Formats: sequence, structure tokens, C-alpha cells
Amino acid sequence: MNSSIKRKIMFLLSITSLLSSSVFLIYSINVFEKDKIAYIYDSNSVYLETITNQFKNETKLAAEISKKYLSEYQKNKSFHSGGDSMFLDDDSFVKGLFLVDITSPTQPKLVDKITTKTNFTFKLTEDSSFIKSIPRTLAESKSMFLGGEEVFINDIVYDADEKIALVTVFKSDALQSFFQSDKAYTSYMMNMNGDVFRQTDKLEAGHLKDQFPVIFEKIDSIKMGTSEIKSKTSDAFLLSSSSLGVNDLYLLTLTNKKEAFGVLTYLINKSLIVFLMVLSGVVLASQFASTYITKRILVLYEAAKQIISGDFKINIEVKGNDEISLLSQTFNKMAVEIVKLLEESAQGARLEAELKTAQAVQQTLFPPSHSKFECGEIHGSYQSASECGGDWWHYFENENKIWIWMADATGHGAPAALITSAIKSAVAMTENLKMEPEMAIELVNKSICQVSKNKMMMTCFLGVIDKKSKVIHYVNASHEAPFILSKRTDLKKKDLRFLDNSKCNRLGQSLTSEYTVASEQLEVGDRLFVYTDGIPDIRNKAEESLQERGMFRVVLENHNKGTNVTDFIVGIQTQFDTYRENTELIDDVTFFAVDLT
Amino acid sequence: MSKLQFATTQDNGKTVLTLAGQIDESFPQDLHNVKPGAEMIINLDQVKMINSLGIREWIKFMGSVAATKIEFIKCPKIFIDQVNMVQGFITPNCKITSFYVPYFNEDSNAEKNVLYSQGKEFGEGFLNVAGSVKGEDGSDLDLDVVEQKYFKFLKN
Repeated sequence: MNSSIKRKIMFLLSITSLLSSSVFLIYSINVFEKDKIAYIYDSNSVYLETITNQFKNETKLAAEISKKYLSEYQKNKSFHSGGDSMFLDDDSFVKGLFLVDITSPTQPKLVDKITTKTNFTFKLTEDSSFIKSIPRTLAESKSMFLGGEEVFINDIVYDADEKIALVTVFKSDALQSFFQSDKAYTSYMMNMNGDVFRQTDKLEAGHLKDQFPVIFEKIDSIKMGTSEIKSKTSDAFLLSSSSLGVNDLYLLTLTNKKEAFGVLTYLINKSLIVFLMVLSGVVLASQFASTYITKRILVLYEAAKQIISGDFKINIEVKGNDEISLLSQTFNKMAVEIVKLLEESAQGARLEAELKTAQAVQQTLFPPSHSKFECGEIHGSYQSASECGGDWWHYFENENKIWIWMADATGHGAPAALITSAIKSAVAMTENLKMEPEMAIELVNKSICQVSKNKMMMTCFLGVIDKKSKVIHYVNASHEAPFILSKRTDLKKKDLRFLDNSKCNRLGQSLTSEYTVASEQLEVGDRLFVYTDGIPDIRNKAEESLQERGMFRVVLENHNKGTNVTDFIVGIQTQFDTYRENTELIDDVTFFAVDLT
Repeated sequence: MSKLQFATTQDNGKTVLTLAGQIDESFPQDLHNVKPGAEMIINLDQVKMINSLGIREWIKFMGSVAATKIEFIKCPKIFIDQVNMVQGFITPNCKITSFYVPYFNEDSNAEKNVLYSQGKEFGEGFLNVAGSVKGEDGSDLDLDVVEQKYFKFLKN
């Protein structure tokens, strides 16, 4: 489990970092490369423009100087008439002036010349091919040509009938600089016919045509501007060109793209190194983070195992305030709650067991549900609303009397059940004593008062039936009044006779309570019905109470069937159960009937 | 069902205590602190239930107002049942001047509570119990209590 989560976290962090860094790297390189290309293109174009402009200015300057000398010549018929000051010195921009008579194109003649002493590489003589080439050059309308490092500008001047050519020679700094071999590019001067007039110093002749045949295949496309071309060896080169403005000459530069992008390659390599370093850092950080997280999860895992093994005494150390800390806090709380719940469950189970015991004990407080006497028969029913109830009923024979008791403690459940135990004990004491009912109940009241300390009370009905006279003497301690059903089987509610002439304090209400007895003459065939107030409170699923009305109806229906006391009680119980539909009882339900025979 | 609510007002120098809800173990202790004066009317019209634990609290309350002349009005059946059954549920300084008598039709399950008032349906030496009354739908409703048992308190 540990390695799995750890690896997942590491993988997730690493892959996220790798992807984001890669995207950033690719994007950055792409942007930088575009910017670099634009920069190279732009700088090459600007450079060529600068060179061509500089050359044009040099040409103009040379022409103006030559015009001054021509004017002097025309005035004095000599370049040297102005003295030494008119001579070109060694540092002069213009290196020489030549006047050549080209009246006869086949036999041109040098008329006059003036040159610097040094820095002039082109040797001129009257017989030189240079003098001879001038008429042809002019005939081809070429106003300029190159010779070594010098540039020659041709002009035709007319002197009377003579056709004189003025050739101005100057050394172009612009071109000299352009063709130097220490550049990152190679330079060329060529025309649209594909004639290469000059190239970077130290390059072999025919280099351009040999290495870049593509230029000559599409020579018209070489105008001003910059483009990318392939060399013969398929290397990429950046080609820039600009018109020189003289004849149809163009200046070209070729830059090896690989070399031009050397910085970019360097940058990419550096970036990759940095990227790998960052990635390594991320992996290490991931390792640390995943170890940190999984270590804490492992603590939770171990704690969970501890709980599974039944040991709930855990206390996970909570560090920080993150989700795992919250989980740890919750885990600790959960363990505490589980312990609490288990204790409560154990306590609940113990209480339940105790209640079961109490229930079993309480069952012993009740008499058999059915019994026959010399002059009668009794049958009762008891249902508790919970494990233990607060209702209690009892009967016994004492010489020629039948004693019947019905009591109902306030509330129900265990507290009420305890008080029923007290009344059972107190009543048991009276069984063998020959005393009047009011005395018996007073004795019981005192017992209850001593036990309950006025916290619990009981309603109670005590009836003592004389077997011979069939007179019932009764005391009612605020209990539901029992009623008598005669032996007729067409009884209605109004035919019921209530034993309600005794109304006394509840048991446990006061030690000094006085109890008065009342009497009622019964007859053979009469049925005495005694009950607790739980009956009217019986509810069905619709939470409708049976009420007193329902109770009377059920009792009368079963009585009018003319059955014996057992069937009478069972019939009533059955109807109550049917009405209740298995819903819980609100209060204990107890009732019994005595049939006099 | 709601716990017992109470409110007191004054009417011609008498304290009128109105109770509503159920009289049970949640009996409000503040009720024991009510100072009614010499006479008090207790309106029980909205009392819906009384259980054995409530009876104990009620008897305590009756003890706390034993010096006050109390008149109960609009007593529901559940109250009258307790008066008939429980010794001390109302004290000798109390009298019931009006109470409800339930009527019922077993065929239609129609119910009606008829208010019996002192001087009209009952009084010194007389009780006029109607065996049946007309329900809201015109049907005959029969007396829904045992006359001997329910009106027992009037004899005392």
C-alpha cells in the first residue's frame, strides 16, 4: 500500500512537472528561434543596405573629385598644372585619374594621368589591357568595373573632336570591409547574368556556383531581401541581397544557419541541463513529499490495524493543519467515540440484562392469571409497555373473604416496577392479618411512603368480597373506578354500576392519608371488572386512542357473549391487540374480572 | 402534542389563567410562581391530555394556590375524569362553572363537545343532562359518557 501511493504521488508530481516544463521549453525555444531568424534577416538586410549606400556615396564623392581635376585639365591641359598641391597624396580617397583618348576605339591612347604613389595595386601603362579595354567597356554601357581592390568609374568627356574617357580610380572602404574574410558570412558581388565579380577574400574561384547552384537556377528571384536556401550539401543558409545601384550589380551574403543559430543551440542545451536539474529537484521533492505523506498515512494505517485488533487506546500525533492532520484528529475522535459507544453498548447490554432480570422478578409479583374460589372465579391480564411495568394486580383468599388489589404507579418502566415490588411486600404482610380494608390500605400506604419518599405514587383499588353475603367493601385510592356487569347479556353502557363511592389519596402521597371504605351489594352472576388507565390510551397505527368509549364497547361486546370469565378476558385482550395493530403501548395495560357464582 | 403553555390576564380584578397543551412531567415550574391574588379563573379549554406524572405536578400546583378562590371554566372531559377519580385533584376552594360533555354517533363517528354551564345545565340541586344532541350534520349524537360516573363530581 505504501509503495503504491508513494509511486503514484511521485509519478503524478514528476509527470506534471515534466509536461509543464517541456511545454514551456518548447514554447520558449520556438519563440526564441523565430525572434533570432527575424533578427538575422533584419540585420543582414540593414547591413547590405548600409554597404550599398556607403558605396553609392563613395562613388559620388569620387565623381565629384574627378570633375574638379577634369576642370583643371580642361583649363590647363594638364592634371599637374596646379602644382604639388593638386597631386593626390597617399591617403587620398581617389587613387588615380586617367584621361584616355578613345576616338579610335581600337587604338586608345593615354592622354594624361595622376595617381598616388602608394596603395595603388593596379598598374597602369599605355599598353596595358586596361587602356585597351576602356572603349569596349564604355561600348557595353558599363560605367564601372573592378580591378583588384580598386573601383574604376568611367566617364566620357569630349574635347573638340576628340572623344576622351575619364577614368577615376578609388579604393572603396565599403567593399573592402564587405569582402573581408573574418565575417560570419560569405559575401559576393554578382549580376543578373550570374557573373560573380568579387567574393569574400580567400574563397576559391567559382565557390558560389559550385556550392550554391540553386542561386543560379533561380537567379531572378535574387532581388533585395532575405530567404533561406540549401547548399549543395543540403545545409541551410540564409541568403540576403541588395542592389548596388551600379550596372545590374548585387551584393549577396550567405550565412550558415547552423552557425547563426549556434547561440540558440547553446541556449537550448543550457536550458535542457537546467530542465533536467529542475526535474531532478522535482523528483527529489516528490520523493520527500510522498514519503512525508505516506508516512503519516502509514501511521493512520497502523492505528486502524490497532483498532481492528481491539485496542482502541490510540492517540495519533497531529501535526500541522492539513487534510491528513484533520483526518488524524477525526481518527482520534472516532476512536474515543468507539470506546464510548462500546462502553455504552456494554452498559446498555448490562441494563438490558438487568431489566430482563427485573422483568423475570416482577413476574413473580403477579398471581396466576386464573383462579377459582369457593364463590367465584377470577381471570386477569397484564401487558407492560416496557420490560418492567408500573401496574400490579393481586388477589388472595382470607377465610371467608376474597381480597382483590389493583394498583398503578405513576409512569412505567423500571422505577414504577420497583414500587410495585414495595406494594407486593406490603400487601403480603396484610394477607395473614385480620384487618379491615381501610386499615390494610393505610398500612400499605405507609410502606409506599417510606419507600418512595413522595417521589412515586400509586393509584390503588382494594376490594374485599364477603363470600357469604356477596358484599364488596372497597377503598379507592384515586384509581379508575371498577364497574359491575350484571349477568344479563344485553347490557349497555348505562347499565354499568361503578364502584365510585370511595375516593382517597393515592398511595405514597402522604403518610397521614385517610382511607374510607365503601360497600356495594353484589349478586350471584355479577361480574366485577377492574382495570388501569392504560386501556383508554391504547393506540392504533393512526395514533387514534381507544378511549373510554372504545373500552366500554369492547367490554360490553365480550360480556354480552355470555362466556365465562376466562373467555371474557381473553376476548377483550384479543380485541385490544387487534385494535393496537402491534404498535407500542403508551402505558401498561392491566385488567381482571371476578365472576361471582 | 405540545407541552403545557400558560398565560395570565386580568378580568375585573380576577386573574385569568389560560392553559393549553398537555399536563405531564414537563409541567412548567414557572406555573408554581403565579401569584393569582384572591380570585382566579382557570380556562382549561385547550388542555389535551393529563397523565399520572402530570397529576402529581397538578396537585402540587393546587396546593400552591390553596388560598385562592378558583373557578374552572371550559373543563375538558379528561379534566373531569381526573376530578372524579383523583382525591385532591381540585381543592375545596375550587368550583367548576363550565365543562364539556362529549356526545357521539357510533354510525357516523361524529363527535361534539357540549359545554355545560353552571346555572343553565347544572346548578344547586339540579342537573339537566341531554340524552342526545344534534350534530353539525343534523344527526343525533348520544351521550358519550356514563352519566353516573361522569357527573359524579357535581354531587360533591
